[in-house]
Amino acid sequence: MSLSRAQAWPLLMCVPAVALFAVFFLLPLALVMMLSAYSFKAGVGIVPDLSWANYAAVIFDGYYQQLFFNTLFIGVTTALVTLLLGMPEAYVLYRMRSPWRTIFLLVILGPLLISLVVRTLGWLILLGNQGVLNSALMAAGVTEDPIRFLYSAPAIVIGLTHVLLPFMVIPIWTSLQKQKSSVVHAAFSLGASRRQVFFRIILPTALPGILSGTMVVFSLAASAFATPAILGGRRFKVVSTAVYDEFMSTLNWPLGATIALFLLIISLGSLMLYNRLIERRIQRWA
Amino acid sequence: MAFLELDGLVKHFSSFVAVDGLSLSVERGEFVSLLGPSGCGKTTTLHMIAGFQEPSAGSISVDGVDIVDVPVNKRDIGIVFQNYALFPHMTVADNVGFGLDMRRVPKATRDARVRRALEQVHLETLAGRYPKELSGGQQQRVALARALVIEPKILLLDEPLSNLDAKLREDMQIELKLLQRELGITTILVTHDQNEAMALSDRIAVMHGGRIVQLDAPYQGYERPETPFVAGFLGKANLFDIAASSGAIDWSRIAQSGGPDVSAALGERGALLCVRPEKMAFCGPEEAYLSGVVATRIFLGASWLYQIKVAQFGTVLVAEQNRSASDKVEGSAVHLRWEPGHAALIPGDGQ
Amino acid sequence: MTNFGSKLFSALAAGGLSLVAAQAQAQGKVVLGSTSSTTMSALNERILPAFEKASSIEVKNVAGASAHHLARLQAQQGNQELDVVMLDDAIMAQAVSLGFCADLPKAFLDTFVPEAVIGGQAVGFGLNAIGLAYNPKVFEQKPWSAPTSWNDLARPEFKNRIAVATISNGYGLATLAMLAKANGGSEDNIEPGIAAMKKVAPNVVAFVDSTSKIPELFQTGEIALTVWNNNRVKLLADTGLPIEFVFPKEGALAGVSYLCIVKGSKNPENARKLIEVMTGTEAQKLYATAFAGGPTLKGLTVDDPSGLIVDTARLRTLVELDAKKVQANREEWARRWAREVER
Repeated sequence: MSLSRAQAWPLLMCVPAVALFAVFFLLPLALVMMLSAYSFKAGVGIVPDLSWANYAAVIFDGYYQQLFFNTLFIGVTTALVTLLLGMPEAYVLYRMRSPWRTIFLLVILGPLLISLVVRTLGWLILLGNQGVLNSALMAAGVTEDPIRFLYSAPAIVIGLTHVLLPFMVIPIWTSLQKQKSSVVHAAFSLGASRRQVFFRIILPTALPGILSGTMVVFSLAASAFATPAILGGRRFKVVSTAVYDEFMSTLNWPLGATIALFLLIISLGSLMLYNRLIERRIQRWA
Repeated sequence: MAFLELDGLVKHFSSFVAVDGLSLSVERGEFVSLLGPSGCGKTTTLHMIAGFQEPSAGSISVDGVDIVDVPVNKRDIGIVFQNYALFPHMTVADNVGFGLDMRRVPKATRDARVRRALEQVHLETLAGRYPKELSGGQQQRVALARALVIEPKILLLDEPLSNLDAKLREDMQIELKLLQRELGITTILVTHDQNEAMALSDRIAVMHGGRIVQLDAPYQGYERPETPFVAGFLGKANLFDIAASSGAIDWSRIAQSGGPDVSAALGERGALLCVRPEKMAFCGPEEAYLSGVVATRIFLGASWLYQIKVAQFGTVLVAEQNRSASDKVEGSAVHLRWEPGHAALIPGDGQ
Repeated sequence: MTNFGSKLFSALAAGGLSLVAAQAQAQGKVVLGSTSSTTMSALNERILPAFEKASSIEVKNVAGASAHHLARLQAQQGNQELDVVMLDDAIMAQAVSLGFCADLPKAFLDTFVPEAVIGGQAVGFGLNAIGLAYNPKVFEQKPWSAPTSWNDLARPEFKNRIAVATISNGYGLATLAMLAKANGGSEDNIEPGIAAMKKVAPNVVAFVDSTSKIPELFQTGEIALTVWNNNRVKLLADTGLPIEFVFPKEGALAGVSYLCIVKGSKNPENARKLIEVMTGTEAQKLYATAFAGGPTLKGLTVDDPSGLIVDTARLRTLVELDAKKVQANREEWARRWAREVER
C-alpha cells in the first residue's frame, strides 16, 4: 500500500506527538507492567521471574486495601470539598464586573504561582502542634495540650483543597460564562426565588464544568504525592507515598510497580464510571 | 387610571441618564411598542417594568398598585428575550412548565396548561426536545409559550423577532398579533424595527434620548410626525425646510390648493414640511412644486424608488407604485407635486 | 532483569532521581553521595576544598538520605553516576551485600580498626553512638526527669512530643532493634520491639523520613525527645540549641558512618584519592572537634573535652547489631512497622 503525498503529510505531522507519547508514557508504562511481574529478594535485589505474586499480595493484603481506600477517600472528599467551595466561588466570580473579575481571577490563580511545597509547608506551620491554630486554642484556654491536626486525613484534604481549588473554580466559571444572563432573568420573572434560581438553573447549567472540575481534582488528589507526604506524614498513608516507599526505601520495585498499576486502574475505572453517569444526564443538552 | 402607568420614570447610571422622565399609560389589553435607536432608553424602561432594574425616580403601577418595591419574582410579568433565554438543561415542556412549578400548580393542571400553551404556539409535538434541538423560530415560540403559560398581567417583548430571518419574522409577527388579541394580554414591545412596531402595535412610543418624543397609533405617527426625528425614524421622509426655501417653492400655491397653511411657519426657524416618498407624484411642469433630475432609480418589485436631485433641497426620494415599466431613466428631468393634504407640517422652535 | 530492560530502567530512573548530569566522566572529577547535615559543614568548609586544591580534582557533592543513595545505586546500576557513597551502617551493609561497592586494597583496609570495616569494600570514617537526645530546657520547665532508658520513649507524659525516624532510616531501625533488646528480644525476636513501639507510637508526633527534619522540630519546640546520634547532637548543641545526648542504661547502639567506592565508578582513581583523604588522620581529627566523630584509624587518639566521643575502646562497651541478621529480617520488620506501628 502506498500513500499519496496528501495522505502522508498529516500522518507525518503526528509523528512527533506519537513519539513523545510512546517514549514518555507507553514505554515507561510497559516497563512498569513488566516490572510488576518480577519479584524482589532481600539481599539479592530484583529477580526477573514472572509471577502474579505481587498482584496477589496487593489484592489480598488488608494493608494495601486500606491504602487504596485511603487514596479514594482523599480523592472523593477533596473533590467534594473543592466543589462545595468552588461552586459559590465560581458563581461570585461570574457575577463580578470587570475590573474586579480580573483581579479576583488573579487572586484565585495566584496560589498556582507559588511552589506547591511552600504552600503545603504553610499548612504545616498553621496546623502544627506548636502552630498558629494550636497556639490560639491554647491561649484561649480551649485545650491544654495541643490537638493533633497534622498527619491525618483532614489535614491532607485541607492541604489538597487549597492547592486544587483553582482546578475546580475555572471550569465551573467557564461553564457559567457560557450561560446568558437573560436565562437568570427569565427564571426570576417566572417566579423563582434566589434559591430556586441557584439550584434549578445555575447549578444544573454548571454541570459540564462541575464534571470536568471534579474529574481533574479527583485525579490530581488521588495521585498527589507532596501534600500527603508532608501533611499525612507516615501515619496516614496513601498509594502514592507507598509507591515512593517501595521504590526509595524498601527497594522493592516490583511491588511498587504493582501498586502504581493498581492506582492507575482504579482511578481510571472510577473516572470512567463517573463520566458515564454524568455524561448521560447532560449529553442531550450540553 | 390606566392598567399600566409609568410616571416620571428616571434611571441614571452614575452620570449617564438612560431614562429621563418617562411617562406612559397603557390600557388593559393594549399593545404598545417602545421604538427607538439603541441607547434611547427603551430596554432600560423594559427592565424597570420587569424589575431587573430599579428606577432612580418615578413610579410604575399595575392596576392601580405601585410595583416599584415588588421583587421580580412576584410581579407576574411574562418576558420574551431577544436571545430566547431558554433553560438549556430542560425539555420544551419543562421550560414551559417552569413558571407553573414555581407557583406550585398541581401536576395535572400544570401538564394540561403546558399542553395548551404548546398548542397555542403549534409546538405540541416537540414537548420532549431540548432547546438546542430546535430551530430559532421554534425556540422563540417556546419562549413565548413559557411567558404566556403563567397568565401574566403584562407581557414584555424584548426585540423578540430580531434574531429570525425576514420571512420567518413576518410570519411570527402575524401569529404574535393574533395570539395577543385572542388572549387580550397587555403587551409592551421593545424594538428598533419600525416595521415590526407598526405591524404589531396599537400605539407606538417613539423614544429618543431617554424620553418619549411621540406617542401615537401607527398610522397617525406615520402620517403626522411631530418632530423630524419621528419623521425620519418611522419610515422614510422628505423634509423641506420652509424658511430656507422661501424662494424655491411657491408656498402660497400650496396653501391655495388646500395644503397646510405654512404662512405662520414661514418666519419660524426649523419649521419643516414632511412629505413621504410614496406621496410624491410625477406631473407636468405647470403643476409642479419642484423640479429636478433623476439621479438613481431602484426597482423594488412592488415599487420604483427614485433619488431625484433638486437644486434647493439636495436629494428627494420618490416611490412610485409599480404599474408599468418606468420611462424615467437616470438623468432625465422630472417635475414633482403632492396632494396638499398629504404633507405634514412639523413646527419649528417658535422663533 | 534483561540487559536491555535494566539499561532502560537505569536511564529512566537516573532521569527521575537526579538532575546531576552524568558528566563526571571528564578528567579530574569525582561525584560524592553524602548523607546530609552531620558531616556537611566539616566537609564543605575544610576537607573538600583542601582536597580539590591539593589534587585539582573537582568534587561534586550530592547530598541525600542513606536510603535514597541506595535507591540511586540500584537505579543507576550499569551506569553509576556516583563514585563514592557515604552511608549509615545498616544501609551500607545492604549496599555491600547487593554488590554495589568495589573492593578496597588490603593494605588500606588494614589501617582501620576491624569494627569500622564491612567486608572488603566499606570503611568507617567516624564512630558514633545512637541514643536519646532531649531538650533539657523543656524537661526542666515541665518538670520531667531526664530520660535514661530506651523505654522512656513510651512515658505517657511525652504524648506528641517525640520524633522517631521511620524504619527505612537507620535511626528508625535502631529504635526498633534497641527497644526489642531492652525488652528481652533480639535481632531474631523482634516481637518485644514491635510491642514497645506500639506504646511509643502515641507519643510520636511525626515519623520522619530523614533526620534532617529533627533540628527544625527541636528548634520550634515541636518535640522534646528523639532517637539520634552523638555526632548530630554535638553539632546542634554547638549552634546554641538546648539539646543533650544520653547513653541509655541498656546501652547505646554502636554506629559507624561508612564510605565506599561504587562498583563501576567512572573515576576509580579519583574516588580512591578522595576516600583516602576523607578517612585520613587530618580529616578524622577535624571530625572529632567538629561533631565528636570517633576515630577509626588504628592507633589514632583525639582530645575529648565534650566527653561525647566514642573511640574504639568505648565502642566495645556499646551494643552492636548483627548486620547479617538485620539484613535478613529488615524487610519483615519494615512490613510490620508500616502495618502495626505507623498508624
